[in-house]
Amino acid sequence: MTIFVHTADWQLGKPFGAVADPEKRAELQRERFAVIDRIGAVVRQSNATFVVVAGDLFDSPSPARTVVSQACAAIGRLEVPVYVIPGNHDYGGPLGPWQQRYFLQERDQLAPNLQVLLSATPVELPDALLFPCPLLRRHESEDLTTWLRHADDQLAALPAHKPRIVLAHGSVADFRAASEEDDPTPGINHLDLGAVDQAQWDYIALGDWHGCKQVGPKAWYAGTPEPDRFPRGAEYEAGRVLVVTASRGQSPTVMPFETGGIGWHRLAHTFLGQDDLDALEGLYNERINSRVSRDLLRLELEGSLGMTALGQLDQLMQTWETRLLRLDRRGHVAMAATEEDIATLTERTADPLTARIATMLRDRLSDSSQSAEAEACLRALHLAVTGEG
Amino acid sequence: MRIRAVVIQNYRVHRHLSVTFDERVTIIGGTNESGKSTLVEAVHRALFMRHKTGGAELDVMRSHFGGHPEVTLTFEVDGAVYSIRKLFRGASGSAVLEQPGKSPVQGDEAEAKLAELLGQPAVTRGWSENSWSHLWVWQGQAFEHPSASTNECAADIVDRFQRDGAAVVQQSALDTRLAQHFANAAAELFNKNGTPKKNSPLDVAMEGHAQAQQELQRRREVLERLFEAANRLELARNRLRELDDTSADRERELAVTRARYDDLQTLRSRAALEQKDEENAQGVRDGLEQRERDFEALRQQVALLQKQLAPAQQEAERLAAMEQDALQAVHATEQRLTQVDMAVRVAMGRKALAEAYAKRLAVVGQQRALEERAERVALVAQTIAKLQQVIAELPLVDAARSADIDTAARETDVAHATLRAIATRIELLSGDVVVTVSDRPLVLGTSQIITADADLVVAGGVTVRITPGGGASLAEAQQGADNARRRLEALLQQAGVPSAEAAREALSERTRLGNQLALSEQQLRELRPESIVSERALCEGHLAEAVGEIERRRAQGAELLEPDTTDDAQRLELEERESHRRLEEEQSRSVTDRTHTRQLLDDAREGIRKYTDSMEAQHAELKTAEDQLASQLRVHGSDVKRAATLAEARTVHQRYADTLASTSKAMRELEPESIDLSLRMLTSSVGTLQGERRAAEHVVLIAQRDLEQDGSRDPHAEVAIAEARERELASRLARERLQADAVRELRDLYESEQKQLAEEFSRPLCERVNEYLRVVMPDSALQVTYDRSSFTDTQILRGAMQTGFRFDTLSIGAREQVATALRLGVAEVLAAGHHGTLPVVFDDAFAYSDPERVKRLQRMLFLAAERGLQVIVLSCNPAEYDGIGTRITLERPVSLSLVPLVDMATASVDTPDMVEQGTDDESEPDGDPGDGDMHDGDAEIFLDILANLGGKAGNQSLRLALGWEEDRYDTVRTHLRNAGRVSIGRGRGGSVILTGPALDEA
Repeated sequence: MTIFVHTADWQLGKPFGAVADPEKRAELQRERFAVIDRIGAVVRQSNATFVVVAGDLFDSPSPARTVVSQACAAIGRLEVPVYVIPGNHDYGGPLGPWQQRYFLQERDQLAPNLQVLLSATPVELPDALLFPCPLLRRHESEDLTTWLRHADDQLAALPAHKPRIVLAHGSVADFRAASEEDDPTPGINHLDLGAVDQAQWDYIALGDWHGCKQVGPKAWYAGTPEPDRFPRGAEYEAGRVLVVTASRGQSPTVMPFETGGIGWHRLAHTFLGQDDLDALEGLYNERINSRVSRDLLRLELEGSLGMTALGQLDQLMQTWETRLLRLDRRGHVAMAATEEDIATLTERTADPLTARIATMLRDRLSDSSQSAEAEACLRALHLAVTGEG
Repeated sequence: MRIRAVVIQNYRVHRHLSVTFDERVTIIGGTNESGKSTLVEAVHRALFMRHKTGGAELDVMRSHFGGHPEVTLTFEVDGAVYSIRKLFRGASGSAVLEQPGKSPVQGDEAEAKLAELLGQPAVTRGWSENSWSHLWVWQGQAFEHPSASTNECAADIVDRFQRDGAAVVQQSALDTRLAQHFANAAAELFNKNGTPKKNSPLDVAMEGHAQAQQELQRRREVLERLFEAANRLELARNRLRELDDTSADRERELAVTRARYDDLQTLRSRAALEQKDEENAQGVRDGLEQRERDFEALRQQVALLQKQLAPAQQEAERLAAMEQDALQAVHATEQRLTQVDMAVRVAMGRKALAEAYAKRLAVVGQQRALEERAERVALVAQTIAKLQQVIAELPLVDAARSADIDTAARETDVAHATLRAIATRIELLSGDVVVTVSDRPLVLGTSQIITADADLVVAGGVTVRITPGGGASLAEAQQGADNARRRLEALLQQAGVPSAEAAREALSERTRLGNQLALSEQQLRELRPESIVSERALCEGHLAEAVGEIERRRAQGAELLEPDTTDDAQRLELEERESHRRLEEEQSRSVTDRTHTRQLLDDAREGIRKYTDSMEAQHAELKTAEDQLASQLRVHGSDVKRAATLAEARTVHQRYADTLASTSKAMRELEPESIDLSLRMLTSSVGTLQGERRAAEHVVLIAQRDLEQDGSRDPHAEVAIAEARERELASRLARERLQADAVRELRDLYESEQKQLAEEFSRPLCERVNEYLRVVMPDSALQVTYDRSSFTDTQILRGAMQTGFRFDTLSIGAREQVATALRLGVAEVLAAGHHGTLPVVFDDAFAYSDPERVKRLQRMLFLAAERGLQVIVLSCNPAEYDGIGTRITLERPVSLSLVPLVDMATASVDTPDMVEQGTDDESEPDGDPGDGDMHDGDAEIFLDILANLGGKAGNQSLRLALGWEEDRYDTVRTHLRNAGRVSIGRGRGGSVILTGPALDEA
C-alpha cells in the first residue's frame, strides 16, 4: 500500500493580467505559492510518501527567476519527493523551464526532492512505479500514453508488486469539451484512456483540467490546488489535492483535501426593478460579505434598471471593484428608464429644450443602432439635470 | 396705453404748452427750436422720471420763465383715463395720479401705480431714459438698428408670445445652463476640429490604449523571438542527429572504398611494370621487323637501279661518236689555219721588206735635202749679218723717236712764233747817252727785241720798264719756247742727229734696211736651221732601221728585188700589202672555222660530261645500295638467321602482352573510375558533413544563448499581462469614447435646438415686421434670429432671389424704413400686453426719405394706427403727412416774453379731417437767415451754459464749455444777440452777458 498526494496545475507565476491593480495581482500570485505549504500539511497529515504533480507546475514555459526560486523553495519545504511532468504550459522542450540553467541550479540548491520526468520511461520508487507521459511541446498531436500500450517488456523488468502510477497531462475522450483550453483543438494533447489497459495500471494521475474530477475507474484529475479561474459550472471543484492510496492490482482510494485560499465566485443576476439592487447586494454578502482582497467575482448582470438605479449600481460596482481582487462584469444592464426617470427629463415644461432633447434621445433608445449612444447621452443628461436639481 | 393729452409748464422753452393727441396718428409740426423734442421729452419724463429727481437732471428741464417744470399727462389704459401730474422740484417735487371717480394717489404711490399701469418697474430715482426706447425714437435715431432698444424689451416680447400661447417656447435658465454645461464639457473634451483635446479623458484613454497595443506588440515580439529560437534549436538538433547518422554511413563507405582503392593501386603499380616490359619486348620485335623491311627495301632498290641504268649506256655511246666527229673537224680546221698562218707570215715579211726598201730610199732622199738646206742657211745668215751691221751704224732714230722729234720741232716753231708775236722791238734811233736794256746796252740804230720785262735805263738815271705782251703771257711764251727748244735739243741729242730732217732721213734708211733684214730672217726661219742637226740624226736613225729591217727580213728569207727608186719601192710596197691583206682575211676565216668545230666538240663533250654525271649518281646510288646490302648482311647475318631472331622476339612480346592484359582486366574489374569517384565523393561528403555539423552546432549554441534568459521577467506572463491590459484599455477607451461622444452629441443637440428655437421664436415677430416692411419694400422680408436675449443676424431678404443684406449695408433711407418696420412690429407685439395699444413716437424721423418714401412710411404708420398703435410723429415738414392724422403745429417761442406764442394748441378731436384746425404756420419764412443753419436747441444750450457760468462769460471760455466750433458758436451768439437774449461785452476776446428773464431769474 502506497500513499501519495496527486496534484497538478499549480500554474506558478500566473500573471493574472486581467487584474489591473498590481498589488492585487501580487496577492493572487503569492497565494499560489502559499498553497504549496498547505499541500505540505496534507502530506504530513496523510503520511504520503511522495507527491506527483501532473503537469503545469509553472504557468509559463519561461517563468521569471523569482518564480523559479520561490517554487523550488516551497517544494523543498515539502520534504517528501516530488515528481513532476511538464504540461502544456511548462512543456519540456528547449523553450521550457526545465532545461534552463537557473532552474537546475535552484532545484539542486533548494529542492533536491524535486524530480522532473522528461522522458517516457518508467521510474522506480521505493514503493511505487511511475509511468510519466511528459509533454515536450505545447501542442502534441500524438497520444502521449501510447507508449504504455507497448511497455510489456519494460514492465516485465520491473518489480511486480509495486503499484503502477501513470502521470499524464491533457484532455480525455469524453471530457474533451471541458478541457482547460478555451478553444480546445481536437486531437491536441489528447489522452486516449480507453486504449489504456486498466488492469495494468493502478492509478492514472491526470492534469490539465483545473477542477477535481474522476474520469475513469482509476483516473482522476486532481485539479489545481489553488483556484485560478472562475468556476465553470456547478460541478467544478477547484482548490483541492487528492490523497491516493494505491496497491498493485487494486482500485485506489482517493481522498480530496481542500487547499484553496482565494475565493473565485460567479454570480448571475437579472434586474427586474429597483429592489433587485438590494437582492444583488444580498447575494454578494451571502458569498463574500465583508471580506476584502481575498475574492474574485464574475458578475453576470442582465435585465434593466432605471437611470437612478443605474447610477446606484455604478457606485456599488465601484465599491466592490475596490474590495475585490477582481470584479469581472459581464452582461449588459439595459437602461430601462422608468416613467419617473423619463419624466424627470422629458416632462419639463419649464425647460423646453431639455425636454425636447430628452424626448428625442428616448425615442432613439428603441433604435438598436443608436441605443448605446442614446443611453449614454440620456445618462449624461440625467446626471447633469439631477446634479442641477 | 394711449396718450390723450399733455400740459407742460416751465419746461425749458415751454412756459406753458398744452397738446391733445390723436388716438391714432398725431403729427406735431414746427420749425427748429419750436420745442417738438422738448414736448416728447417732457411726456417721457412724466412717465419715467421720478418726481423727486433733482440735480443736473432737473436743471436741464428748467425754463427761462422761472417756476418749476411741471408736466401733466393724461392717458388711457384699458379704457380708463388717468392723469399723472408731476412737479419737478427736486426733493420737494410731487406726483399725483388721478383717475376719474377715484381718489388720487400721490408721491411714490403714484409712481408705483403709474409703473403698474405701464407694465414697467417703478422708477426709483432719476430719469429712466431708455424706458420704452423701442417705442420712443429720439431725434436722429430713426435709421439706427433698433436691436439695442428692442433687446431692452426682449423679455416683454417673449413674455408676450408665451402669454399669447404662441407655439414658441423659450429656453429656461436650466436649459441655458445645461447647454452651456455641455458646450463647456465638449470644449474640454474636443478641439474645434473635432479631435480629442490633449490630456482629456478620451485622449488619455486613446493614448493609453495605443501604448498598450505597442507594449503588447513588443511583448509578443519578444516571445516570438523565443519561439523562433526554440524552433531553431530543435531544427538544429534534429539536423545534428541526421548528420550523425549520415556521417557514420559515409565513414563506413569510405573505409570499404579505401580498401578497394589500395588494391587498385597495387594493381596499378604492377601494371605499370608489366607495361614497361611489354613495351620493351614490343620495341625489340618492332626493331627486328623493321630491319627485315629495310633489307627488302634495299634489295628492291638495287634491282630498280640496275634496271634503270640499261638505256643510259646506249646514250653514252652515241655521245662518244659525236665527240669523235667533232674532234676530226677540229683537226682539219686547225691544219688549214696553220697553213694560212705560214703564208701570212711570209707575206708579212715581204711586205715589211718592201716597206724597208721604200723607207731606206726615202731616208736617203731626206738626207740630201737636208744638206742643201744647210747650205742655204749659211748663205742667208751671211746676208743677215751684213744688214745688221749697216743698221747698227745708223742714228738711233726709230719711228717713234722721229715722231717725237718732229713734234718737238713743231712745238719749238710754234713757241717761237708766239714769242715773236708778242716781243717788243726796241731800237735806239738817236741819242748819245748810253742806253741799256736789261743791262745790255742798246746800240744806236740797233734794235733789241725784248720778250720779257726789261728795264730801259737811260743815262742820267732814266729807267723805263718795258713789259712786252702785257705782262705774264710773254713770260709764259718765253718759258714755252725755251722748254720746247730744250726738249728738241734733248731728243736730237739722244738720236744723235743734228736736226729733225736728219732724223727723218735716218729713219727712212733704217726702215729700208730693216725690211731687208726681216726678209732674210724670214728665209732663215723657213729653213729651220735649228732642226737640221736633229733631222740629220733622225734620218740616220731611220736609215739604220730600214737597213736593219731589210737585213733582218732578208735573213728571214724574204726575197724581193730591191727597187731603185722610190716609186718602185712604193709600188712594191703596195703590192705586198695587198697580198698580205688577202692572206689575213683567209686566216680570219680559218680561225672562225676552227672556233666552230671546237664548239661542236665542246658541246659533244659537255653532253657526254653531263650524261656521265647523271649516270654517275645512279651508279653511285646503286653502288651505295649494294654496299649497304652487303654490309647489312655482314652485320645481321643471313636471312635465315634473322628470321629466327624475329620469331623469338615475337614470342617474347606476346608473353608480356598477355600478362599485362590479365592485370588490366583485374583492374577493370575493380572499376577504377568508380572507385576514384566514390572516394572523392565520400571524402568531400565527409568534409561537407563536418562543416554542416559545425554549422548546426553553432546554431544550437546561438539558439541556446537566445533562449537563455535573464529570468527577471516571464515573457509569457508579460504577453498575458499586456493582452489583459490592452483589453482593459480598449474597453476603457470605448467607455470614454461613448461618454465623450454623448457629451458632444448633447452639445450639438442643445445648439441645434437653440437655433431652431430662435428661429421659431422670431418667426411671429418677423411676420408682423414684414407686414410693415412690405408696405415700403414690397419685395423684401426681414429675417431676424432671436438668441435667448437679443435679436441677431438681422438680414433683409430682397428681390425675387431673396438675397440677404445686412442691416448696416443698407442705405440710410432703407435703414430708416427697416428700423421703423421693426419697431412697429415689436410695438404691435408689445401692445398686446397693453390692452392693444401703445404709443410710438418718432421724433423728427424720416429726414432721409424722399417724398415718395415718406408716403410709403405714412402708409406704414397708418397701418400701425389701424392695428391699434398710437403714432406720434414730430416733423419739420408736417405737410408731408397730410391726411393721415391730426396735425399740430408748434410755434417757435422766439419771443422772450413771458407769454408763450402758443398758449395752447388745439387738437383735433377725432379725425384727420380736422387737422386744419391746427395753427399751421409752415408758410411763414424764417426771418433770420443768419440762424438758418442753427441746430435745434443750440440756443437753449448756449443760454443754459451761460447761465451756469453766472450769466457772463468770455467768448473763449464759453465756447470751450460748449465744446463747439467757432462757426456754430458765432451763429448761435448772433442769433441770441439779435433776439436780445444776450449782449456783447467788452474785454479781451469779447464776452457775452445774459440779458432778459434768465438774468432776472438768476
